[in-house]
Amino acid sequence: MKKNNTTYWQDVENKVLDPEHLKSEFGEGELQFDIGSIKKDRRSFLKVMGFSFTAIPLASCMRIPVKKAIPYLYKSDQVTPGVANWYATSMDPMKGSSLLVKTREGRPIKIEGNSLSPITKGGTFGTDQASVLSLYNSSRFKGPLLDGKPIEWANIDKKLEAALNNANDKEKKIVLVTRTISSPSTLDIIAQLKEKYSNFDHVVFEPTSQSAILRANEECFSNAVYPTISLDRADLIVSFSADFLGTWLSPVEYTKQYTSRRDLTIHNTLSKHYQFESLMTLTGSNADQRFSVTPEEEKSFIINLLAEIQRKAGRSLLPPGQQLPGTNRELVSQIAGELWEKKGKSVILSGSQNKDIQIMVNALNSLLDNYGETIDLYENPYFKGPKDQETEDLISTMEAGEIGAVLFWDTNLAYHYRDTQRFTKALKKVVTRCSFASADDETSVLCNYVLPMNHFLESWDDYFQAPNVLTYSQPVIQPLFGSRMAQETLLKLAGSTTKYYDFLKKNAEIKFFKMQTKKMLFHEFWNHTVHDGLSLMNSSLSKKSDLAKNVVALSYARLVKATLNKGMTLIGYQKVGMRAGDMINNPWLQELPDPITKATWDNYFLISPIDAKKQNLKTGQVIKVATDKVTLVLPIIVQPGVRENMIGVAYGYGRSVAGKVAKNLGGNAFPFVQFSNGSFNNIATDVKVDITPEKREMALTQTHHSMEGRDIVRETTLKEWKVDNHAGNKPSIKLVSMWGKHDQSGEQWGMAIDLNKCTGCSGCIISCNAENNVPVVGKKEVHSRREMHWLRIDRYYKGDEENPEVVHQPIMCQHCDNAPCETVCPVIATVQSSDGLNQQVYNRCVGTRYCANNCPYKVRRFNWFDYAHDDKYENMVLNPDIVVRSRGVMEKCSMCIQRIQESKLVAKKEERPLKDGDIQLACQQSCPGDAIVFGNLNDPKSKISTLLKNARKYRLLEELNIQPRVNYLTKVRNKG
Amino acid sequence: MKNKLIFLICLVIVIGVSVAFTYEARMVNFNVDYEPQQPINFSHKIHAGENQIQCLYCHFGAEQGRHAGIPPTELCLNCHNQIRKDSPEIKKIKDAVAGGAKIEWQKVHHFPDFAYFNHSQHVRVGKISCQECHGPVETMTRLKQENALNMGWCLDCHRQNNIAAPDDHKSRAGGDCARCHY
Repeated sequence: MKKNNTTYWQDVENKVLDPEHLKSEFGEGELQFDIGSIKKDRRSFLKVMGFSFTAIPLASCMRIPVKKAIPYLYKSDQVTPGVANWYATSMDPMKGSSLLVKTREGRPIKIEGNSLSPITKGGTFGTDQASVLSLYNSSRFKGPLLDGKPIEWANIDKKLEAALNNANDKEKKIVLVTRTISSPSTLDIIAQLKEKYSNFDHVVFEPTSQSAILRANEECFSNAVYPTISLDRADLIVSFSADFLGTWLSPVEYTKQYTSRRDLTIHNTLSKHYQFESLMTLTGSNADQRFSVTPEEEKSFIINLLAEIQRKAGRSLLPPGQQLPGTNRELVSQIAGELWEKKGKSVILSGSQNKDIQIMVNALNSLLDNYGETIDLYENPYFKGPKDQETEDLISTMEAGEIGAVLFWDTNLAYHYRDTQRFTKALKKVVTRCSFASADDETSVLCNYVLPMNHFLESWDDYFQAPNVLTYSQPVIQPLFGSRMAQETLLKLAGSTTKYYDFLKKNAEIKFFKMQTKKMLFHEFWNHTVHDGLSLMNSSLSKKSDLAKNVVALSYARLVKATLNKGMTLIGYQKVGMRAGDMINNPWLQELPDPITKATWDNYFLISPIDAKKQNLKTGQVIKVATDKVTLVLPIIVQPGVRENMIGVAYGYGRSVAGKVAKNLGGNAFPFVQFSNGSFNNIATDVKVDITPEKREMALTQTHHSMEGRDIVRETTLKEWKVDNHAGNKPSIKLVSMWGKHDQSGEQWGMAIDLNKCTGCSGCIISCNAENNVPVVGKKEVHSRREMHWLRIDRYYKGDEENPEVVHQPIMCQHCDNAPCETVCPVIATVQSSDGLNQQVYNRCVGTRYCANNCPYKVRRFNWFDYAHDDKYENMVLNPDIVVRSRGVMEKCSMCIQRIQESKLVAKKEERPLKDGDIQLACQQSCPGDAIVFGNLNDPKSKISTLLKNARKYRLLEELNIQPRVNYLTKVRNKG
Repeated sequence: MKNKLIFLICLVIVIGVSVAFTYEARMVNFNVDYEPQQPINFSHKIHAGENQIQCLYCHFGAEQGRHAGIPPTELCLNCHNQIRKDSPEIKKIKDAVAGGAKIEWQKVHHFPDFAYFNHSQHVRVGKISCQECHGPVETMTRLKQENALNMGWCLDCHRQNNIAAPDDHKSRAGGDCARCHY
């Protein structure tokens, strides 16, 4: 292990520790406050002191202010003040998971995963967790607008209907533009609209479209659906640029499946994961072996792999006698061999937006008999995905003046479409422009009808989360800002008088009640389904996965002719927290460090270390990237693992019309989207790069948590682990302590984090923020290293810069038995509890920050300011069981003490002992990888006790003999 | 030298007076005997004392969760639809319920927000009678604060650690900071 100490590094510039950099963290200039008009001389000091002395006795003459208490007039028997209610609901499956929502006195305050869901199994991502804050976004519309002026709902309904009828009468087209629709009832309403208006069109637009998969599946199998993937059944995963653990299709589901095969406490082997990609994605950072390739190299590799596999299968899908493009033949035959060995137990994925690549991948999966094993293609009548050609056609028909009315539902084409100017010009030719948006965006300002739509926590909806899983979204709060479900409007336009809720329920009764057998009566079925948030349909699903002939040969012919990258190539990607930018106005997500770059509040160009060295560029240097049509100026981050000549840029930023959080943040990368081969493509080839003299400070959380080269992360390979379970680990050392031992009877809490199951998705950070009222500090303060996250994920690189191995390690307060922070606190504001937690008592803390200085893990956070709590809507998200800390107070992870106390109380009320698993910490509950385990160390049967006997267990900086309560299990890579 | 001496004496006096006042201030702010005028002349003496209505009939929250709570206004009418229908005080309640007006009670027992207190923990698990903290409410015509409700007062009980708990369950009241402060 000693060798490893010297090979881990955090980022390119900090590969050699820079003493100057350390100085800046504690430098004098950084810590100074502007104390306003008070001069720092003797007279001013005496004035202030004199005032304080007189003020104290004056203050003592006052009684505490009178407090009013206003009881309910009528109380619902379900709401008891101080007691939380939980409701099951669901996000749109393209955006999130099955969820449970915690409400207090009628306001949702926390989101957790619904463990009943067979798809996400209780896991959530940061985006799911943070969606509750978006509900309280005070920049949401306060009511409908007609030509920018407020209007009553009833009036705008009448006017909109008249406008549509008018367009219909003039035989002009009416077009509804939506995102992917997985809601059967919504599809029904759209069908009704099609019936009513003779010239009605429905266009599905996805800003970060994965439509190539749908088109490929349509051509190969006549079945335009997304595949249902079972990574838990795959022994071998080969992924080509598919960021399935971060942003691709259904990442929470895949993370659950993936990590279930990375668990060496249950299994004694691991699945194997190869990743080929041009940028460094979260998925790539978790791969057993990662290959840094250009899209062109990726293409050649796939073609060669297919040739090799078809040879093994004795089939000929590719036209014979062709010269195959050059590639690493040895690697091809090695991986082809492994794939052939794992026939039916492997899966090949591709994130490419080139339909032909997807067809090649389909052929590979088909030859390997993976269909029906690890991939299923169920027919799904309740799904309408994007067809990018439709969007292009929409713009040209708008330009031709053939469209009389266009309705944008949750689609912001003026920002997301690749040519804003063309879109804006085209839209001007449409008379009736209607936007269903939640807050002002680039498109809604161009529309004359604005009909604010509800947040999903205010809405009813039904979804097929998978072809056999029906989930329901139910409102947990009345609409806060006078908005309305878009479906209500569409129903009215379709000439129906029913409410959407009744419509949805009727649909369930007519269609879906029959598709299950568990419940005999409809009302029973309905109540259970809404209560659980979902229902499993057990009618048999039809699959369609027979590869059509000739498709592969045709697409091969297209593919060999195409050049996927040339010169410098710009690749658009999605940040794990931001995705396509739907929640760009969410401060929690803005402040979430990107799992790889650890950057917050910004987007930037990712440049390979080789290119950076060539041009002598450093992180923060501003560069200009241009095609012949568009330019974008942003700072760079030198990102290890990025392929030479490739530049990455995240979507979602650079909004011109948005709330106060997102406005003028970063730059818009959507104009670089190309339309080729029927799909929106995220790769722009041959871009021009100019270096500007400007340098910009990036709000990175990366370098100032440096672990100074100690063996903080321990890892080994599966081969070595199989020989010796202790591989990569060091036996714990017995050290003599000057301290007496604490009384360790009763419950003693401890935690274990399996580094093999943590993917670094960062969902736990948002969950912790929401649970513990952790403040958002803003870009400037993050840059001053004052972010307040109680839980951070450290990311280390190992090996060469061009293609390093990556590890993610969650770090929170380690709750040491011999805590160094406790001994230095002059006011005893941090002490050990009888159940082994390190307690921070805010009202005793005077803010000396000695504890933070003495903490070897640097997990304590100091409130430099009273962070903004002036938005009365956003304050509604605060957890009322937790204090909002004020300026001058130290804080840190409390092991969700409020949850421990609550679970204990529940057990006591039920007059039973606490069971293992009763207490679920916020980070633990939300973890889609089940990497975090918490429990009672004194209970020999608890999960934590068994984990601590594992040979992979170790504790951080054990040599300090501070006896931390948080344990880690070594990372094991399946290689070598 | 003389000046310095005078300055020092003055300083000592100022600090001494301030400390004395501050100490006194603490005592005042505990608000013992606080007995504010309420919007409705409600008498605990009549309800809980003479008529023997259980505390938990109205303050049912005390058994369920954190807040004991002031009962929802309509609850008064469970009885007062029949009893003393025409009293002017009852009329205030009826009007409020009929007209949707809110009744603003003056909070008597004020608990600071840096401490967490859960009624059900004490009432249902600890099996402590209401009177132990709130005093003989059933004799009070107008409610007043009986005890200091400060930390020292809480700890008087918590230190004794004799709160009833299920036998097989070791966790007791305890004096850990984070039992209340989080």
